[in-house]
Amino acid sequence: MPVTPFLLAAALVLVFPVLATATQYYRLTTGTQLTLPVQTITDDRTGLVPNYQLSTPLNRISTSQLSGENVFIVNDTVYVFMSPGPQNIWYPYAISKSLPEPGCRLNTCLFLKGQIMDIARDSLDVRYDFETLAQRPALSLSKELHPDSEIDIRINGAGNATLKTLRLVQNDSNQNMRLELAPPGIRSLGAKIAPAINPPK
Amino acid sequence: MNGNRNFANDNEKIPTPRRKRRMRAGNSFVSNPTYPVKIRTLKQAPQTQLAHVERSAQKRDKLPAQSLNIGALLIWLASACALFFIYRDIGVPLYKIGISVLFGWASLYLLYANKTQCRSFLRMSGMLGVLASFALIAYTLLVEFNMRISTELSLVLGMAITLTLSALTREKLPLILSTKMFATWLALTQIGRNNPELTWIIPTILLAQLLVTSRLKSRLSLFILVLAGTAWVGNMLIGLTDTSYLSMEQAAGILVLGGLSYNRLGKSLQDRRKSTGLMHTNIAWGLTAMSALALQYIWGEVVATPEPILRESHLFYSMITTVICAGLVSTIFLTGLVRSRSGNQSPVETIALTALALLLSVFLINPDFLFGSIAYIATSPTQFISLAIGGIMTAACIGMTVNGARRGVPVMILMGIATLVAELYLVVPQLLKQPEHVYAFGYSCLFSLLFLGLFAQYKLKSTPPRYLDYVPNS
Repeated sequence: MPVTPFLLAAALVLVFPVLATATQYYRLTTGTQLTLPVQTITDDRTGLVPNYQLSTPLNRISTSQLSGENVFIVNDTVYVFMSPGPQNIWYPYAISKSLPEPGCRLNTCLFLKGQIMDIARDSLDVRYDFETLAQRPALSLSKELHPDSEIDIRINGAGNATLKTLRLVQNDSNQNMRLELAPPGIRSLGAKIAPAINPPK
Repeated sequence: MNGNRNFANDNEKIPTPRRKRRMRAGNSFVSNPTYPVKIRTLKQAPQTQLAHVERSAQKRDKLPAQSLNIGALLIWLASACALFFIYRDIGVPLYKIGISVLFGWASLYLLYANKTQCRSFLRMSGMLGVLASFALIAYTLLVEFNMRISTELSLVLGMAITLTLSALTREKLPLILSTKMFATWLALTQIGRNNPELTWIIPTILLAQLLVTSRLKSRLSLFILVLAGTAWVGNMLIGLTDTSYLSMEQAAGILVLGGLSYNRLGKSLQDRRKSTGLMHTNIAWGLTAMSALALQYIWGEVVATPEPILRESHLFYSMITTVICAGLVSTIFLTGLVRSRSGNQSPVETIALTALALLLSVFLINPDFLFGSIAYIATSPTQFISLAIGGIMTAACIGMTVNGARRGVPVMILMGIATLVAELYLVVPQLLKQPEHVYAFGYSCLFSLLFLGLFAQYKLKSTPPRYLDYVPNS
């Protein structure tokens, strides 16, 4: 039995996690970082592993407050455009089903790619990639959240967002929690806070 | 086990049963045999050869087995223990990934050490260890690093990894896993859960899996692949009818022709004594029967199927239909020609099957031509054709059942009876409608049975295999 195929198989065992970790490193070190307030946390057991679904102000988009298109159907892919305001706060200003030809310029515009899950009057329920947090045995999140709870996300040039850090301020205990989802070695950069479009009740 | 059940030539002598060989001493046994090996020629009678094989097997079984590779087993056990404790006690994701990689390597070593010695339990443990290490790495990445990956992409990745592992280690287990994942992924694609842009992967993966399957001779994965591939082609054709590029008759007819030519290819494989020949033949027969029943239903019930809409691309699809039909008829003719030359099929059967396929092709390509001519002998051409197909199918079901009983293959008997029941369920209400229907069905069934009898008679009288001419020289 030749050894070479088994050596190649051993290389495959190594390459798989290395490539996956490198991809995650790349996602979390490139692009723009935003900080969003977390409004609610719900359980989701429809995926490969049980998840928490986080809800942020960017998940509820009011078409009457934004420019762009206002005719959508469920499952449409949409792009939410944001621009920086005073004090480096980014504001969503438009929603569209297609990308404009010139795209976004660095530091002047940012867009997030999402999918419409539900429509109610002029309000759209949009989901992006960053709301899902895998449940783990040692992690038990309280559903009662303090308004100061935040997440850090990274947005790349194609509008895909990756969850990087979760900072929870829990009402039912004085213990605040910080969960780093990045592989070790990545430092958190300066945060820019997106405003709450619909403030949490 | 009846040795000739896999062969199309039904008059063939039962071949010498092959004994399962276990290479206890690895390659050293082949290079340094402990007893003299003589190359025997076919001049000896099969009985003499059989006795020689038995003696050789008795001598070989007495050889001492090579010592167990304790080192590989200990390394594997140690890495498994380390894996357990690190996953239980240490929460650092990189450690978890690292120990999973080490466990994967130890499992590969265990697999390698036991592969040449045919220790199936340790070999299987090694293979399962490799797969488990991949699963643990994926779980850690998903949970600890919160990597988001869709179900379809995870299935594609899983397929690719298991297929590569199978090709490298020559193990069937990952191949079977890969084909099962492919079938699942295909099912997700069919219900619209997958990205349509990934459709091009289907033929690519199917081809790669078929290549590895043929290399490893895995019958289960071949079965899954053939079923999945057939379902995919069928679904694609139905998709074309939804968009009115093809009519329903055309889709069903193409499937009938495809099944028939596949059946002939399966028969050729049986002639060449390929172990999977019977399986291919039976799957193809089932596909042909189901498509023929669908075609019969469409024409018999005069389902108002919309004609293909004349659009810019219609001409293209019409041309494609013609090319596909021509290719399938040519396959039926050429396989028949080859089988006729080797004495496994009568020339009349070749001509009859080709003519039948050609007739069906003309129906599919230019229905007006033949329906116009049948209108002179029947009030309802579509129902006439439907009943003629019913007659042929009834005869084919009887033939399948009888042949299955004669060859001792229960699957063939079951398929024949099940299709016959479905056929009678379809045809009886039609027969009760008009007296001329009974004539159409009866004549078709009678002629088909006559032809089947002729074909069977030719097979039974075919030239005996050449090795029976050898005379024992002792």
